[in-house]
Amino acid sequence: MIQVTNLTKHYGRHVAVDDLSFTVEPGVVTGFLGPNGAGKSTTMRMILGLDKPTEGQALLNGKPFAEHRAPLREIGALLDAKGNHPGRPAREHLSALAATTGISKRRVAEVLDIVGLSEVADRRSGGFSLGMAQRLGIASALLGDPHTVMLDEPVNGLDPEGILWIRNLLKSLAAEGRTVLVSSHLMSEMALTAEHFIIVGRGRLIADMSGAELTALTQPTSVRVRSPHAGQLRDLLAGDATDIVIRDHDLFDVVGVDADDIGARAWSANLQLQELTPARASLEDIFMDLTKDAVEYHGVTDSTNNTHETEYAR
Amino acid sequence: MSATSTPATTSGSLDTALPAGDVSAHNVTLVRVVRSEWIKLRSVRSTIVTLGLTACAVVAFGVLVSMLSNGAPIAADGEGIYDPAGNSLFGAILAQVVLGAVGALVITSEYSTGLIRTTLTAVPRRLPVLWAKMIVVAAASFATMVASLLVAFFVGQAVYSGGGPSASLSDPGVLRAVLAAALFPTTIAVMGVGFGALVRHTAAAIGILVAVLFVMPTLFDTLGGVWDDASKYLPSEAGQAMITVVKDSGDMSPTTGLLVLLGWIGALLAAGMIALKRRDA
Repeated sequence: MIQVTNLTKHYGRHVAVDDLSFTVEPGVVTGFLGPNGAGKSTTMRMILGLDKPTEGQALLNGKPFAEHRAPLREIGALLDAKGNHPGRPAREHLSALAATTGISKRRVAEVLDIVGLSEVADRRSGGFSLGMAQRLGIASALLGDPHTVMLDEPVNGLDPEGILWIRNLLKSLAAEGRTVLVSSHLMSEMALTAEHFIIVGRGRLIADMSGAELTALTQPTSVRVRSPHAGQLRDLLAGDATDIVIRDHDLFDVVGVDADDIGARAWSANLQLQELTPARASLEDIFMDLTKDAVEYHGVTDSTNNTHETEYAR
Repeated sequence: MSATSTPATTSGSLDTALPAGDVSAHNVTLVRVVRSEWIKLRSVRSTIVTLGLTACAVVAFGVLVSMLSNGAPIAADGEGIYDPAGNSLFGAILAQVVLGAVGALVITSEYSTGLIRTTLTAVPRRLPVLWAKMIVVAAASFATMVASLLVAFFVGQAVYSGGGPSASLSDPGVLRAVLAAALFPTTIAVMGVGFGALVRHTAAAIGILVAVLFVMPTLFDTLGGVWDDASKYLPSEAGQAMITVVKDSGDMSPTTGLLVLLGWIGALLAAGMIALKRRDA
């Protein structure tokens, strides 16, 4: 379990993390989300005692991390995929880490196997692709078979097969009762893996809730209707619907009437339906909405291409 | 990712290599951190190559100086400009800067690659990492130097044996001089680790080392007066005093030379400890 209390970090006048408090529970994958520069990595470094908090504290299983006598058994962390000497083979890198806490060579071979690097274990890690480097970083995180696993942007550079693999790995780690904290700036990725979400922006906590709670944040839900009799159906619903958005000659979105009701009315009016889809905002939409004020580096884009996805969701 | 095999989907679980709850068996100890640092040192080929080349240079340089000085006349005043043992050990002077750089790299390369964060996650109390690096660097440097200096000494004396006086290991002060010549670059290597821990950047650490070893003596000489007196407390001068077998009257004694070097290491170790402990990694 990770407990973060009033954690604050200033770099000169820049406030990287601002009075952040949350708890990461064992047994579920917790997604740590926020735009670039939101303070995710800084928070993780403070949990590991690498950076000193300006204020507040981070506890791992009830103690500051540095007070644990067998640290690699407590937490396995991946902060930076490139965190190895390029001239050192993968196996030696892991062996050196393992040696600090008396972990056997057999376990080193085992984690190399788990991450699929056995065949390249004796090659210098400088020649590794980003995906292979990520796997090596994950191997080092698993080395001590720790209670807590904390990974900073682990899917960066992984191929689709690798992304699927890490998704399953994270879920199985959580299912074994471990605490799993995974950061990402991509909600689309985390939505498939995490059950609980901690969302930060500009160093502050924006949301700390389950996926279901997060989804429930959005109101109202709309229903997409496709019908050759779109005009007649709209007239039929006009009285009760709070909003109707026409998408095409045969397509519109209704807010304020649920899908069952629309279906029943269409049936009794003898109007054919080709599509009847309740649209819920995706976690990604909610995430974008929650963090839009907290994005540090805005890109200016013409968003008209995206309206189809996002407009009716809000 | 064609080079990687298909990974297993589990984490390798609690009951295989590491028994559950068996955490105290995995406490971090200094011995374990030393072992870890030793694996790191020997597993980077460039470090091993550098140590090997240093050994070769020590032998070559010692033999060269022995050859050049062979048959040189003893000065009229009889004072020790002719030091057959010292001459054959001259390579130690050359080795100091290389080994100092190796020492610095052992820590600065971790900062430049980001490895330091992984290292300090494994050893969050931090200080054992610095001690272990110093121990490993000292051991590797000393072993390299002793081996290469013994070769240099014997070959050097073989060069002399035809002409002027030569030395033997059993002569008074000679074995001590060989060990001292090995010890001096070793202390510089350890100082390199200290500078590395302080400034964290390879170029800066090596720059400082070169300044302390080569620039400061000249600078102090130029300034004269008190500075000139102070210059003998610089590592290079103290090291020279430690190595010399036939010494000039004004020189520091070998023991004092060693103490001066240990003082430098102590000060750097203290500063390096504070830097490592206090600063964000």
